[in-house]
Amino acid sequence: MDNTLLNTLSGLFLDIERTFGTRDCCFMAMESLKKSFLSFSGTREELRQEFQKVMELIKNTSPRIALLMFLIFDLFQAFESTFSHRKSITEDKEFLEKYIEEIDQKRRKRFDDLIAISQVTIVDGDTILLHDISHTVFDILRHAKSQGKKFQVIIAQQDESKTAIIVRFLNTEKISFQVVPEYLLAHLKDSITKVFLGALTVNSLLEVIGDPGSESLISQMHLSHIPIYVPLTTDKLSLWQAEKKHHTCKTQKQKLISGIEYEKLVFSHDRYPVDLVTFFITNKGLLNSQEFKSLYHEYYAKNQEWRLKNAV
Amino acid sequence: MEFLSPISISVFVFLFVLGSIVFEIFEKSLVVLVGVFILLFTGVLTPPEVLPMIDSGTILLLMGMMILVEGVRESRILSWVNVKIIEKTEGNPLFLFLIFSGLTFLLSTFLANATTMMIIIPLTIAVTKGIGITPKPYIIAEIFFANIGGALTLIGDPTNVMIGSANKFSFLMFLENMWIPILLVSIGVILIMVLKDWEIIRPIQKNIPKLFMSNLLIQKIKEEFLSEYFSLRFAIMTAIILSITVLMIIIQPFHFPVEYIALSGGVFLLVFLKKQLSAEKIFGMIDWNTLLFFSGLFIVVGTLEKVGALEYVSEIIMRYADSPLTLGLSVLWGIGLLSGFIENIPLVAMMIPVLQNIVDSGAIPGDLHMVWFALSLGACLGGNGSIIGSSASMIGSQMAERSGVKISFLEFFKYGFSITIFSLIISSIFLFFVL
Repeated sequence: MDNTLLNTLSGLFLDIERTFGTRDCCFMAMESLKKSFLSFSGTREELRQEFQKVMELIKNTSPRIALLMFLIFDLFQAFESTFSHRKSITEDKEFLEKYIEEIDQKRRKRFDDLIAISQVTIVDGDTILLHDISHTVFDILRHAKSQGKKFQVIIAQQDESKTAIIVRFLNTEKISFQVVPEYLLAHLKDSITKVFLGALTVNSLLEVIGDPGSESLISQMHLSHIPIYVPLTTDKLSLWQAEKKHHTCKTQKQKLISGIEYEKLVFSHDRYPVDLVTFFITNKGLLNSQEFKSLYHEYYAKNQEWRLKNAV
Repeated sequence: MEFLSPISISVFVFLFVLGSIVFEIFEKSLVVLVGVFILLFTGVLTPPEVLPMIDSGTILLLMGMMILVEGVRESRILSWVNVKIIEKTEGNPLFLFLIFSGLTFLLSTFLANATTMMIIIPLTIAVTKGIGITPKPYIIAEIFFANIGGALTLIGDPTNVMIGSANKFSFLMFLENMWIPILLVSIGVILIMVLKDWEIIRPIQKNIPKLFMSNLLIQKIKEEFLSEYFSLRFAIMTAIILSITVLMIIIQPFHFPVEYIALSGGVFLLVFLKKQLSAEKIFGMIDWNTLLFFSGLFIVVGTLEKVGALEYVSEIIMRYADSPLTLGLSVLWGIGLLSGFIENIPLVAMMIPVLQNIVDSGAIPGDLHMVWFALSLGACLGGNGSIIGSSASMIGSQMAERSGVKISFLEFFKYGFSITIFSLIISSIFLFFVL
């Protein structure tokens, strides 16, 4: 496997996931995969080989994008099992395009179910705290606003670019909001009624993988008994054995104008226990942490065969 | 030549500057400033002589275009073009290479090369980095095509403006005499570059992992563009002001100097779009380092000219010229090779009176008008010889460096010198038929 390509792709996934959220990262990846198959020029056998290569690549990125892994494995399985039924590369491409679109439709259905379920979580007079960029959270708020619900948002300010994206979204949707630096949140604990946080996935250690800063924020809110909501469709669950490794950390050299140099540590993600979340908003219902754990175990058990087959 | 004579000191300073740039010992702008101070402290230059040596026209033109380009960049119209281009190419590195090279060639036929670089390079870096390939071969090819395209027209390069003005050549006359060698050189250079960088720019239609990554990157760039603020009115207004400024530079109404047209365009942009553009921010974005480097280089080369060191070179060229062809070839190769390392504007400024005297004296029988085009070909195409050979290469490399893409002197020289030799050979064959 080409390690340079793998590292670049991992960096790209991380970058897209941070800026646009996991859902959009998956969407972009699926679209890209479809376009890549359509613009491929080569023989059927070459397509087969290249397909395996891209599958290996996606399987080994860090972070692993669960939804994409399921998609590509299922797609490959379907492609292989029906390979002899097709006669030309054009038919192969048509098959792949159609299959990806079908999967996308199923994904959209799951997402619509989640949005419908989420609407019970927002009531008039709510003051909702946002921290990270989650397009699922954005869609929940957009839908609630379109339903005429009266609520306001407080943004816990973090990286300037991320806060700017949240500000732009709320401004476009005409949702009332205020911004407060993350370290001053304690002053607003009495006015915040709930917290909405995005999540990359939940792993087999029953940890939520979220944006950097999520863990301290969630701990603070937990102490103040403010309910924490995490929306997550079931296709985002990581259904393989997670490693107990440290989070990806980069060291950035910084320099003051006075010339003093220092090292700044930047972490890619935070991990926190599922127990710290009050409710998970899923396409299967609004679940407390215990119910969510049961759901996870159920899915994990169901995917035992898949894990063995694909050596994940 | 005495050890401490003005000539030896100025040659030493020039070699010191050249050497420091070649071996990248210090920042280029700092090196030329050190050179200027050596010339001042040794008395080769006097303080009153310093400022007149700086070609204020070039500095003001650069400054004006930098303001315009930064304004245009703020409007994000370049990002819009960027997204459109990469969507069309579907991330195909070869298409991108041909599109960018062609675009550079076209723009440089009517825009100053430095300006062309300022428009093209940020776009190139964004797109190539976006699809995960190195921008280096693209930038190097753009530098070549800025110089080649600049040679084609009367207004494409400052040296052509000087030559045309001295001989009352029209725009069409320039085009008529230059299109053949420029076309041949262009075809040759694009073929050489494509073959040389094939591993980087070859189509990737058979490689699904690379296709996937390119498409994913294109999606990301598109989403980034859509997620950020973009005002169509602001973008259109900046594009209109830029277009009018460029048009004014081409037609130069009332012979108004181009540098003042560019600067007034920049000022007009800041005044007219004051709500969207902060003048303070735009002034802060001007590449003062490059302007300082240019200013210092003008002084160092101006001193060489002042002490008569450059005349030796011209004398050597003239010594062997006894027919229009030998004169044309001497000028082409002499100026062509020197232009790779010395700013071509003072060289051409020096050559114009020298050639004028030869023509007027009638010492060489025959029609000598093509010798002027040999001078233009040498000055423009020779600029590709090294990274300090032209404003395109200097600005291009500086801008690339600011974006984290470092092109060293030797790295560029490996490509540039062979391209220059090839271009001069093609031009020589052309001169052989017309002289």
